[in-house]
Amino acid sequence: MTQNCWNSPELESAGNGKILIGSGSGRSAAANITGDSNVTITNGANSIEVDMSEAAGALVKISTATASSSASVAFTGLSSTYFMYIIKFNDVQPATDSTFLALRTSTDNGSSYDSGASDYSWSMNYLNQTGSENGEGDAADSYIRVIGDNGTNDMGTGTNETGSGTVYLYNPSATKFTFVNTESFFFNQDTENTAVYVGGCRESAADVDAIQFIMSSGNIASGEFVLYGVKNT
Amino acid sequence: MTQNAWNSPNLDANGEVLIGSGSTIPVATTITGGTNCTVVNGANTVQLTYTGSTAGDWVLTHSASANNSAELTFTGLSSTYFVYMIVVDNYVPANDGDRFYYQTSTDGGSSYDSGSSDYYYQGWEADNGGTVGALDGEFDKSNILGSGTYQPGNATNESSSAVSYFYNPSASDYLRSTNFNTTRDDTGETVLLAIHSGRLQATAVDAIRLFCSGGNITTAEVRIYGRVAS
Repeated sequence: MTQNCWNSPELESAGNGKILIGSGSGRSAAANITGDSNVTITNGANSIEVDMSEAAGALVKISTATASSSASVAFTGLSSTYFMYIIKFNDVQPATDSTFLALRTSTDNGSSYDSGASDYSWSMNYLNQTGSENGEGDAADSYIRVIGDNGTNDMGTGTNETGSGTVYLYNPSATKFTFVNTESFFFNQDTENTAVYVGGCRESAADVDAIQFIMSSGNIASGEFVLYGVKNT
Repeated sequence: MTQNAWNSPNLDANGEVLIGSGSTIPVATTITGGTNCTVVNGANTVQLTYTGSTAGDWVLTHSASANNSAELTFTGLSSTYFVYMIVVDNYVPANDGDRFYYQTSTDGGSSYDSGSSDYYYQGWEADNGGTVGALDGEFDKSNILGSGTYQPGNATNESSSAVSYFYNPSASDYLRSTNFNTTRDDTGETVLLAIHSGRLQATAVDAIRLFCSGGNITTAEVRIYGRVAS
């Protein structure tokens, strides 16, 4: 919740318990109180507004990032305010054909992202429109794979060869191994519709406060990423 | 939204909002806010109470922590919410390898359905060695599966996290749910579970419980969010 004026209300110095609206010595009485998701008390040109846009729901849109020939897309400032983060991505396409989308985490708010050879483990199930179902996985990797099998079901650069999906990042501020789930759909480098599900783990009992998306090679040519927080309390 | 004191605030003639009453009102000293905003002035307060979530909003409806608990129960599910999202983090069983399950109730939690064919499921799993497999017939159907054939571990750093959606439980229809789970199992592998399951009875569900296949739940943090119906 954002409490606009209420974080530092103007109080009358005489100690008589009055909250002041507006400024100057000749104020007229506050005339209107209106409110729906916000409450606004109006006094002529002056007002106090209590912004309750976040209090209305537990799922909060935090920020949006658009990739445009970007080496990475990152979200920082993850905190215990949120029990889980949800990242929706849409129309993501790599700059380099036959590459895969992956994620990494940070414990220094994005100054660096953990990329050691055994920092992560992950398991993947993907189902191709041809009817094939396959798995991939790695017990020790430098990222968590999100889309792509590093083979015949990778992301492509052709028309409509884009991917969309959801990442669930569980309670990253807890000092324990950090888990993620992803569910995604994409048209691979042969323009075949493929569904992919991932369970991943950051193998360190540390407070994760940032997350980064990268391609296995080259840039993220395009795509939109939206970060949502699911409130803890 | 309910605007308690704000519906008829005590206003001074020069545009000041008064807190409390009397001729010598002390200065307001504390302002706190979560879902409510409270301005405290000694024994007097002004409170804004926000109860007016709108259709489509997600609202935190339940919160619970397991501490060597036999089960966690969540009652009061209602048609106020069209879908519930259950988020489980740091599930650790007291007995190594014990899975977690859900069961549903139609009598407010007085009893939970546990017949051997009360539920259904269909899903698949994968481990970090690249092995995948379908789930179909591995378990009896007395539970909604929170875990699959891979068994959650209880050694250091072994636990499960999951997000499940329970769709419109108040409808007189089969309850349907989806569940995504990442588990560090009892062999130290990172495994994925994606499953669709539900209750095979066309009766409104008004409570659910999360419990362990064997002993107690050593730890689990659970939050349930409801999406406000129209």
